[in-house]
Amino acid sequence: MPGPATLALSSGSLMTQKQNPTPLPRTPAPGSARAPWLKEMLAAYKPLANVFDEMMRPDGSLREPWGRFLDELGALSRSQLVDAFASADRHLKGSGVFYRVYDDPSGGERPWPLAPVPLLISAREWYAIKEGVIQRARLAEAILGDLYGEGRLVRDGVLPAAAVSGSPDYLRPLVGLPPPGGRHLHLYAVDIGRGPDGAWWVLSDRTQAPSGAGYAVENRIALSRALPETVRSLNVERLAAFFQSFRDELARLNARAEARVGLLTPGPLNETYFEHAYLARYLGFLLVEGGDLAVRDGEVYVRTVSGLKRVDVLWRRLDGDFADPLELRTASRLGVPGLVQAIREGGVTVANALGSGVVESRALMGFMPALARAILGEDLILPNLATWWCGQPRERDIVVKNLDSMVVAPAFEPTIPGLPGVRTLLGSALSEKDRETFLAIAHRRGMDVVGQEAVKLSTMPVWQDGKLTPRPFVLRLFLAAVGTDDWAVMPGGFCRISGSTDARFVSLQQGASASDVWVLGDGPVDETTTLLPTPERVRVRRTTGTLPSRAADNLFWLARYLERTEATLRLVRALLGRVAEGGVGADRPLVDRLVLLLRRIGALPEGSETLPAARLAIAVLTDRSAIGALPQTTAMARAAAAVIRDRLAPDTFQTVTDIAARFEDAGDRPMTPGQAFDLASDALRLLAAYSGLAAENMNRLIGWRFLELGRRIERAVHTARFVRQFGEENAPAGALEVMLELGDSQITYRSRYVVTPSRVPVLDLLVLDGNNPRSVAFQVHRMLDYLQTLPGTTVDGRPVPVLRAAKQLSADLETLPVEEMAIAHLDGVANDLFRLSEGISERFFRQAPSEDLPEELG
Amino acid sequence: MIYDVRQVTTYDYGSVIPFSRHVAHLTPTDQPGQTVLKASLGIDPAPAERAEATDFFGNRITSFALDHPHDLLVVELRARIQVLAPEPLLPSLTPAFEAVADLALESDDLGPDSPAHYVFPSRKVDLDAAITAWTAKSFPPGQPVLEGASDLMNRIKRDFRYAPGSTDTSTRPDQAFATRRGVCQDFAHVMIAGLRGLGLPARYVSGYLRTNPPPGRPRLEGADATHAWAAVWCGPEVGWVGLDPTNGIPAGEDHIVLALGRDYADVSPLQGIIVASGDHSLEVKVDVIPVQPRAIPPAPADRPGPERAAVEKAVERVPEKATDKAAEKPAKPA
Repeated sequence: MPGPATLALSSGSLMTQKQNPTPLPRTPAPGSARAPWLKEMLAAYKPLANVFDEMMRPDGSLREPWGRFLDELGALSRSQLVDAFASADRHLKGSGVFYRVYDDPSGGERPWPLAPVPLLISAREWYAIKEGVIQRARLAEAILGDLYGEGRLVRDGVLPAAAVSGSPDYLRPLVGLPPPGGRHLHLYAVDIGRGPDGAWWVLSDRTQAPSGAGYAVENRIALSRALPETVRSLNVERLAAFFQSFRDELARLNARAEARVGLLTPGPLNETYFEHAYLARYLGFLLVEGGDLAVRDGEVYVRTVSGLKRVDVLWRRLDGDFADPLELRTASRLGVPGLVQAIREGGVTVANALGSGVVESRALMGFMPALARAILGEDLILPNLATWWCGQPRERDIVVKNLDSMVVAPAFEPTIPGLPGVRTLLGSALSEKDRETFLAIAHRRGMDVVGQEAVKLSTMPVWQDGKLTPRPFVLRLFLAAVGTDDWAVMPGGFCRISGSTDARFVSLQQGASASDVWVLGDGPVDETTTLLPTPERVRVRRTTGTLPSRAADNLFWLARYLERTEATLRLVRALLGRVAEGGVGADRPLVDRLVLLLRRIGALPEGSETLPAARLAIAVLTDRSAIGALPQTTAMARAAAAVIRDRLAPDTFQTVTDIAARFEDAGDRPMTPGQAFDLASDALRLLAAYSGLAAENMNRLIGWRFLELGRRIERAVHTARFVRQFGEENAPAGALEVMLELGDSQITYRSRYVVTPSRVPVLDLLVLDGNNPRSVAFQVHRMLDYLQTLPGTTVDGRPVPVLRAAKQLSADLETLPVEEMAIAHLDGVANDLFRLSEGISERFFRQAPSEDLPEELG
Repeated sequence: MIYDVRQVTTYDYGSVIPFSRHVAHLTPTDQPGQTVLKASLGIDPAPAERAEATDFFGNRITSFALDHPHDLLVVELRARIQVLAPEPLLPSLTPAFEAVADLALESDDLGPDSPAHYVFPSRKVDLDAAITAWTAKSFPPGQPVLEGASDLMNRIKRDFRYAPGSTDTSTRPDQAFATRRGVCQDFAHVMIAGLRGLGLPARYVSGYLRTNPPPGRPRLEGADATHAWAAVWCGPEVGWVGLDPTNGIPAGEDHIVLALGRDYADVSPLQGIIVASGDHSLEVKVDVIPVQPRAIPPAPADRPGPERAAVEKAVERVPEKATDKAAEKPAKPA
């Protein structure tokens, strides 16, 4: 059973597993021969009073299909089960699954809290749920079609105008625009829970940009690796077919073969960024942020290093309101300026359509039964959490009269306007003062609040400290649009479990856990579905040519900042080495030059002119105000890395973070020159570790070249600077040694010349020697190599300016005899390097549209 | 009264901008009592893309993009507008404010003038308990809505100090209320926040106010300013009534409407996104010139635009990563 060997056998991804189509009836008759440890565990399981428990009836007997499931588990020993659950956790950790907690001072990423016991749903029950949620999705789509279209529901009196206009997600610029692609909702989610009577209730609609589908896949992969036999013999329905139909639907809307489907994310700081990156990879979409996109002539493009590329479909994980800083929330830095204009001109399909969040408001909940009758001519199959919107006099009176037994909540906003602390609260839990305020609000501005029935949600068993404990949960189900009017339901879902026995509010932000959801088929499930491409199907895929410019820009600058860190550290070490040995003395001219260099690169704070050299060296390591001091330089490296984190191996990213952490609070404690020297050496070692990891772990696709370009150009600039400062003919004694030390070329020099340094060979080694990996020429030759393999550096066979500049500089350094090289020549080299850097930015990162020639598109 | 209105908005970026995209709310439309005889919006340099549309609130919007490097943007409105004096209203005959609040919630209209859009907090106008309590003093039980709103307007005029420069476009109503100072935008926002706090529909009006030069002095070119005031909904019969808390007068023949919305954010005259790292300066010049009603002279001949300032740019020696797109700082109406 699932020891390491079994795990290895099933180590393919969930989607690719094939196995015996007819599972053998290998379970004992229910309850007959349950393992003693399991019996013991079940005997200790006590459902909460007056609450429906998914697994156990009040009399202690088991509900189906839990009996079957437990019999499967009972085939394992207790320690095997513990091992299996631990392996699921290991899998998640190893895959880097995380979510982010807002308001956490450390910007905390939390490991994914998997509750290993899945929620089980029988085929019969699932059928009823499915009918109910499909109806709900049809209803939500129809409501959106009306509110952004004809507006009959309001005109006919089914819905008061204020129940719509109060929603911050009723996006007025979208009113009257038919959604390109024909429908508003492409992925709809709904939170349901089971009441004490055993019936499922709809708790809320998720129409904005529902999250959780990706985590559901990760949960499933983790659990089916942990319990492969169980998954198989219980006929657990697979998730892949659902994602396939979702992907096919978006691909269908993608009008042109060369255009791409983009997944628009708010970025790495978002709570569920991992999921965005994961789903983009899983479905073959291009992960983009607002800054990656540009609108031109009513069409949407992604800025890539190969030029602007069309995006016809955007799957949006960004709240609609934030999607266009020009026409929607004007302060948003996350969106795409002009996106609304592009929608107006029909140039892009946004899924879900901007403004679809209006259906999520609680005010609308109370009208759902009437809306279903008015629009569909049907009653709701799944009952709706009873909701009274206090914008109507009769409903307000009901809420005021029954306040203690109801949940009060904001009608539209995240918190009640005027009661900023209150998201949702049981009326009886309101403080005396808040209660008064609430009643005043209900009276004066009833439209801001609702009362909702307080439903006690059912519990499911949660594995905790080796025991099973009942915990309330909310189940989120996902539906993908198919064609013009149909829906596919994900057989499974995302189950959020409360951290306490309080059954009312469940949110991962409040420290709950999540479990997989198993829909058990009546027979063996179809396992042929896979998201891997088959010859018949052309897969939407990311090509190397679509490296977004922003990612390239950040790779380039990550490398530059790290190289700048290294150069600065070498200066600091050289400085400390010359002041530590009993005063400055004879080294004074060298020390002065080192300080001058540090000042030129902005590494020294204002007003530090009078400090002794050792203090200056420490200031470079600790000062937070100077732009070129290490706290700022390393923080900028980390910021650049954070943006492209999905392109870096976890260890690489961790190393960059570690380097920044070394300097983050180094200024908080006093530091001796010796400690400073150690800190600098320690950081240089970490940088070497980073270089090794980057060299070993990054694939050599286009992104790698930008990392290299950044590193090479920064190194060339610094080496040229060092030589300019210490390479003059009348430089002070010891200057050549300093130069070799800063250029990390002492060993190369000694192996070559075996004499004390003399000026011309040192200059040759550091500037012109194409075989010394630290020389200026070496950096320039490498840059030329990389530039030549990047897209769009020639037009009609002729080099574009940036490539021409690199060629010129490379040839110049290759042919210049060292004897003829005046030290001032390095100023010209520095200028050329500066222009080269500008040229790289201009060509690859800025994407000035007038430079994008038609033949580069496609 | 017929007016010639000219508004010249100049952004001087101080560095070269490769690409910019803007949305302007700078073209007036017909309103009850207002007829736009002609209007044109000039943009220099000529935009690569330009599209006209009508926004949800019925305002004309112009979306445009510039795709050639530029360091200066000049947008110029020229319009000839006829404004009729509104019919006088008897505030005491308007319905009680409580009834108006109920009627607003019962509205079965989702159109731009529906009161339902203007009772909720909006982007620039949060509800504020202190403003609401202060406003409530103008609304004893049964108070006719326009009487209460006019009283509120007069109290703002009386108690607040007009202090240009004391606030900017991001000033929240509660800040202006706490210091009792600000400019027209702040006063309009405070008034809107107070009325909405009582459940009354209130909206924001941006536009122009005709000003008279001091006696014996000629009109100075560009001496006028953009202006803003509030409007309150007084029930379905009376509809929207404009009130100018900066001057303590109802909006009348001297008030020219440019755009309507829930607050400043809906009608920001020129909203732009540029790729830049530096700061930039903004200048707005407005002329509101009454046209002699007898003999209407031709519109003033085109004057050359402001001279382009030569911009010197220092070359950075230690390059830094360019900042991401920055929103342009908007102009604040007086």
